[in-house]
Amino acid sequence: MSPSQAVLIENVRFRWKPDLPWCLEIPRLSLALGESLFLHGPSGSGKSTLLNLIGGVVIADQGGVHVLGCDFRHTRATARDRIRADHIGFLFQQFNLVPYLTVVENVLLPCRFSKRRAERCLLQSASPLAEARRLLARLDIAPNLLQRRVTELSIGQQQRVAAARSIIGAPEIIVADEPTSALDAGRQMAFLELLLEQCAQSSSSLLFVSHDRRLESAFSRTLALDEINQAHAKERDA
Amino acid sequence: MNPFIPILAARSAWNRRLTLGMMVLSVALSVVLLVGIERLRTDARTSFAEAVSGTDLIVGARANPVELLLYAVFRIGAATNNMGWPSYLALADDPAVAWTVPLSLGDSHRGFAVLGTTSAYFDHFRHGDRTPLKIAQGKRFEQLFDTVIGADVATASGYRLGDRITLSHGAGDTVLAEHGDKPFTVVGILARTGTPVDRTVHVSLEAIEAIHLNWQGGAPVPGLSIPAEFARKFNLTPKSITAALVGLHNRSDVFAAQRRINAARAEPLVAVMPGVALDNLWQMVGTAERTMTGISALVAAVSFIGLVAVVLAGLGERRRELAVLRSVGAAPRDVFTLLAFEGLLITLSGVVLGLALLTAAASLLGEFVLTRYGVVLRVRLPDGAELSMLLAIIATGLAASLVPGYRAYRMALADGLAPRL
Repeated sequence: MSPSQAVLIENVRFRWKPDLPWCLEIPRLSLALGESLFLHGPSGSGKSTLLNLIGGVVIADQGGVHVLGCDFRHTRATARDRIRADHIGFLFQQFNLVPYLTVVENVLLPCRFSKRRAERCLLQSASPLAEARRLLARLDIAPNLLQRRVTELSIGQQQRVAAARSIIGAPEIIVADEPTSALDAGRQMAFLELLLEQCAQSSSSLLFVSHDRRLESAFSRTLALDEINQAHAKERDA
Repeated sequence: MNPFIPILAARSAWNRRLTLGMMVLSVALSVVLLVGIERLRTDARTSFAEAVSGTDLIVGARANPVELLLYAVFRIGAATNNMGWPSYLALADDPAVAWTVPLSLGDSHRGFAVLGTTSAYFDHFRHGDRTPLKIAQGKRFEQLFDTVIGADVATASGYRLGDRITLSHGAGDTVLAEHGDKPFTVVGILARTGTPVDRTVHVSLEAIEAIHLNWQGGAPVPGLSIPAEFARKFNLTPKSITAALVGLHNRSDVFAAQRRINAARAEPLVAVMPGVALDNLWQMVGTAERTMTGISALVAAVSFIGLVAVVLAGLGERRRELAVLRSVGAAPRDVFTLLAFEGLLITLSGVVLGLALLTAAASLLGEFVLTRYGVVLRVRLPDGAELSMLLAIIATGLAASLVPGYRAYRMALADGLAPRL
């Protein structure tokens, strides 16, 4: 694997159960370090499965999933968990914030499970807490909201908190799963610009999964998952 | 373990405090039942065992030995038949007998038992670890209408030396009439013993006779009034007493003395060894104790099944939360630990709340239980068997928590980063 690549997927086949058909068959998919990749595809094209593979939560039945040079097929589950914690930030469509934690506690969550990400906060700020405050301020979250529960925030504010959580500690890879689908068109672009700016600042690679192709112009490269996923193509043809 | 997990478990539990609060209460009530019954059992045994010591035999009219012991020493249960005074005198003359203390019960004062006895009572009665009675204030009774009251009588009624009190005929729920014409003067207050002595009004045997001079068949004779100052002119030797405490010169003679007394021809008597009678009592109540403990254990089991059910039922709603934790780096074992820790937190909170409830119950009901059942409920930290019981409860709670922990672990593996909800 080239050292310039954050994610490399080669000849991967995956199915949830041995008696089920393949749901993912990808000959090749790569994400370079610092690159922003727009991956689009309809429902059922295998987006969630792909995210689980890149996150190391499931492993491919065939082929290789390499994340920052580590072949997940030959890596123990605990090591995959550690790589995910240290190097990947996830941003979801549903925000997936923890409702009983405050805004700042939600942002700090990755630092609770990754010493590396907590330490990398010190590159920008005096402490992880200071870094969380800095990121939230950069994402236009007012200081008086920091100690509030996330459920008290508007949808747009919640999405920005989720973005801050995904980029705190400058992970090398940020995986965003339709993070703008709950926002109106005006806010979508504003949010996307913020996210891309933060990724650029921390030199993070961004894999942005969405079915909304109006956003693709903001990215350095675009891929159609239903085209690269041969399992989906076969299913469609059948 | 990730040090953040306990904090996260506590915050998550607080978020569902109403549901989990019910579970904590359920575990707490199990603790109250299990430990409370054990504590009541040991407190009852201690209270009974400490109530009388140094007495070799308790002698009374023939009756069930346990009934005689309960009535004569603990003032519990129905009055037994009386034994004749001549029999008592004969008993006192037995060469093996070192001392005797006559006991005459049946009257009361504001719910406290009145005990007619002699000065020998203060010399020979022992409680706890052979501790003699101690007069905290005043002196023994000397005059006919003198009385020495126990510590609880003095505290509850606020009596001081020199106060005058009147006795009631009958005891407990069967108080018939007042002996209002013959008041007594408090001349002594006993130091606290933690035994039924504290709740007893002590008078002389002659005084018991004196207040019943104008009574016959358990009721005052109509039209007959004998003023207190004339009572002394009558023969106040008792005709009968309730029972007698007996001390022997040599403890090894106890079986022979018991046989002799039980075989007395003049009057059917029974001689009871306090320790043996207490053992019989515990054997009688043992089955009930075991049944109660069994029921309590079942209640505890139901609580823990409830705990598992509640946490498991909540897991469905928490799938997204667990997936979020996975996405930010939590390993499946962290998810397992989170759920197991939550169960442990509920169990520990339940145990602490249960002990607090027990302490509150002992403080609030202590007086009632002491007065009504003669059992001293001690407010104390758990010890011995109680600690083992609490550890067993915590271990069961932890074991029960592993079930939702394992389920969450499996769920976290299956759901991955995006649960299908």
